[in-house]
Amino acid sequence: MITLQQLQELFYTSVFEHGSENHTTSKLGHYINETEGLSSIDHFNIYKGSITASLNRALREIYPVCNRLTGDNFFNAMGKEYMRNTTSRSADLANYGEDFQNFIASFKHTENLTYLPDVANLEWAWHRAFHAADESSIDLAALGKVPEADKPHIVFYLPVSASLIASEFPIQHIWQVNQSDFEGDDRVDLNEGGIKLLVWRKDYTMRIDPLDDVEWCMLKEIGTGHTFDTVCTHLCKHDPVLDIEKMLPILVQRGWISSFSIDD
Amino acid sequence: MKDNKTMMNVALAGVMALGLGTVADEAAAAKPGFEKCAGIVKAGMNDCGTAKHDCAGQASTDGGAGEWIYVPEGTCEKIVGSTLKAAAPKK
Repeated sequence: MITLQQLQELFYTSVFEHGSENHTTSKLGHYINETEGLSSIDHFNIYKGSITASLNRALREIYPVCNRLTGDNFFNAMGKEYMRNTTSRSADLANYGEDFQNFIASFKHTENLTYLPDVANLEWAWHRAFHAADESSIDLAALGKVPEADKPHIVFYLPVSASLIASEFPIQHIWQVNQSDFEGDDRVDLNEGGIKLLVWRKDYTMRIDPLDDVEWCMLKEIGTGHTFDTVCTHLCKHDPVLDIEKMLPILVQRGWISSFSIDD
Repeated sequence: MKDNKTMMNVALAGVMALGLGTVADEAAAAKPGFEKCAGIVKAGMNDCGTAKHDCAGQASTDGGAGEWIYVPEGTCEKIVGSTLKAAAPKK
């Protein structure tokens, strides 16, 4: 007799575990009915093929540039390895693949592609921005009515779709030349240097905006969710000449600050 | 040393000076970045039909067929130059 949990674990292991497939699958076969023309293992393999193909396709959809950089065969093999190592914990397929960049960073066959984890990070940010909730612009009328005493307690927010990404490699350039509609010189020199990016979505437009050090610093600080007063204190400590008065309107105008609240 | 109160007031005044209604329209134009219409990419990510199309073909190909394919063969060869560590001592 086998408990439900044991059966579920046996099933999971049979689908994903590497190396022990024959043993666990034949064990699992005792619990699956045969039908005419299809053995219990045939039935199971249809399910297994369906799951692994769906997850592999999800990875390809989320990480098309990583796929293109490494080629279909390599990417599929890497995807299978990732599946064996990573349990999907969400019923939403759009949540699958979050730590793919960490997997790539530790995957011995990509150790020479040092930039690949950061490219994956950019693609994940793009994916999250694409699926993020829609959002309207900041309510300036409401902001104008904030009482004097509450101003230090204002908390500004970056768009819900936003991710701040920094890399020591030119990942935006790598990403751009590997878009299917890219035309021109598709070679990239890794020595051209790193980049800081804000990946976000404004209505139906996806954006990847390069940031300078001041913009990066301000958005990072605002993104912590501290009050305006604390943000000013931290930024001044970090960089005494940083012109917050000038920069805040610019960040708002670009849509990089999309809402606010008053911290009680 | 600037005090926070003045700084916040001037900054907020600057934000208000943007004027109502201009924020959204200015967003994209204000800075050269990369933009792409979201509607035309990644269509059908959650299409459950994927399973339907793949199950038959995948069932027989499992069991480690991909294991030996561990040589990247895509466009990574177009990424030239050494890694940053090697690049650092450049004179």
